[in-house]
Amino acid sequence: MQGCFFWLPLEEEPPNEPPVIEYSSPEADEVFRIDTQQGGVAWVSVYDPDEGDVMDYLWSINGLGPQGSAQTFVSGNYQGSSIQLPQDPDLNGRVLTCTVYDLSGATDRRNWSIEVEVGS
Amino acid sequence: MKLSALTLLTCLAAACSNASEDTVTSTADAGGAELDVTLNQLRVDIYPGQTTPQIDAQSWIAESDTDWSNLEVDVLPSVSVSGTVLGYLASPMNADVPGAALSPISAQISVVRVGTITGVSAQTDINGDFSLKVPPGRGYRLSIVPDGAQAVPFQVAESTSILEDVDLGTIDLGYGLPVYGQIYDATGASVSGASVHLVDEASGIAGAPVETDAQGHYLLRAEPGDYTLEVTGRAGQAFPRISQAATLLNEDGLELDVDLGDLTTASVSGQVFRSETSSTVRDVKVRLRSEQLAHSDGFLSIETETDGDGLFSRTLLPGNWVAELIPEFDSPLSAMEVTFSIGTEDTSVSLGSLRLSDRIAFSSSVFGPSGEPIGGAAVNARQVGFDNYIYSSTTDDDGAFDLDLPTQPVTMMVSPPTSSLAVSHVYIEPESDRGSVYLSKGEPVSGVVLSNGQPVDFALVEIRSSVGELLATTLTDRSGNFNVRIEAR
Repeated sequence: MQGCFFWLPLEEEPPNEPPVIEYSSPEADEVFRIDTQQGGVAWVSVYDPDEGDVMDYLWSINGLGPQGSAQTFVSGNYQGSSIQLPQDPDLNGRVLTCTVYDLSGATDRRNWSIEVEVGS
Repeated sequence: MKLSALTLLTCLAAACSNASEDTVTSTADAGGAELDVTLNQLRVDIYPGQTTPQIDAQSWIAESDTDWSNLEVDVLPSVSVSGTVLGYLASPMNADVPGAALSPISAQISVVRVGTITGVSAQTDINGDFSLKVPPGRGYRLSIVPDGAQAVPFQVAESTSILEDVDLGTIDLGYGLPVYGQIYDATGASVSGASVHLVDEASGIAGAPVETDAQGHYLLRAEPGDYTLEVTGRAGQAFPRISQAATLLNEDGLELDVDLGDLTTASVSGQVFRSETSSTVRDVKVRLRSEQLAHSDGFLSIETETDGDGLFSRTLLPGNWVAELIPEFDSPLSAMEVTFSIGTEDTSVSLGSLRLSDRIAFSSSVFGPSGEPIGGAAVNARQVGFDNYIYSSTTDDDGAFDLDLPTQPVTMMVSPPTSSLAVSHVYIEPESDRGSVYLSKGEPVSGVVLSNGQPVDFALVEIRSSVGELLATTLTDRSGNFNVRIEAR
């Protein structure tokens, strides 16, 4: 084999930065109170330093599993997800968790205890 | 029905009804205009975040003739509403006459602006005391619904203004008038354990239910007015929901017996499989709802779920039925719907093997008006019917996205990452529809969210039509500004 061989300069792949839930309602580890007949809304907004990184969101409730009433949004440099839950006594005392995943599988999460205000 | 002067003197003097607006003064009033679903209004729902915890979620109404590109949304810290609820307790089945002494009442208090997210509910404590917080504003509906077993009237006050902290003092729910009767079936046998409650015709507010006793008797108490008496079974019972008009005029009250019809049931069963693998599927929600019952004009809806072998079984009344089979949200399967009939002579009906299809791999792309791909757009596909599951994705740099969708139609909301294009809505039948989504320029909806002149930063903002249809979602920035575009009016 003849010729001139050389190595292309290595392009250093920047390490993946995990997504960060910067804002939410309710605040982290606070109570998610559902006290109207329309139900309650919880949301998170996420900042990810990696340009173009795409998030997946998993909203789940302990004992009930993943929830299907969440939707995503984008707003400027932020993206996020919100979920609406009904004023269902069965949710009282459970824990709502939102986990956000980026394309590399890095995550952040927040938990809230659910309190449902309903008459007996 | 309104709260009467007799029963709610304190409230009328302090904060309820239009007349009270002279007595409660404030310089601040949140909420914008009154919601009128006949107008082409916008409803701006604000869900403040952790930076403004003193602000509660609330709606702000933008009139059709205002400049939607320059909205100044005023949201105000909540004010408190407190009081004590008293009434005359009776033992419903043993005494038709309420006791003589006022007693604390266990009740749910709701203060809401109808058609908006503004409002809250609270429960009275052991002393009948309650305290809740709502944004200051006009047009609230105040309802007080005592728990059922007490047979105390429920009350509703419309057009209530709450502009500053208010103590309603003692709220005497009064005696009300008796509404009583017997629930029986087609054989004339009394039906015990049926659930009976009144619904106020004007407001749609439902009183708490009572259960019929061993002889099928019930007793409720209510203020004079127009109601609907509703009779249902407890959860899982195969009683039809029967509604009957009930006008309460004078001190004699109202005797209303209700015939539930023939309550002879048949057993309905089935087994749910995954179509592709023929394996059984557990934890599928099975919602059984009547279309027409054979012996009644009523309605019945019962839910159950499949067991570890994919099996389900319930007893139902004869008639025409729909079964909705709804797999869990994270299941790879689609929901399905089947119709069936139960004859009057049937004792059991088998729906046989019910096969759920896998969800469909759906791919599409999002482009701008000039055909440029739109990356980073949020795509939310909401299933039409069943449990309205929402499936989400994000477009890549080529504007492409993939979703595993159910076989049933979805409404898709596409939110671009830039505020120069409109959030768009598309109706899609995943099994047949193909093609791309093109975003228009639309028209801007922008402004600033302020509270006492200070920006409400990093709050979730949902733009909705006056009937509640979600048009766009965004966040306020550090200065409280928001800026989205919606499809043109």
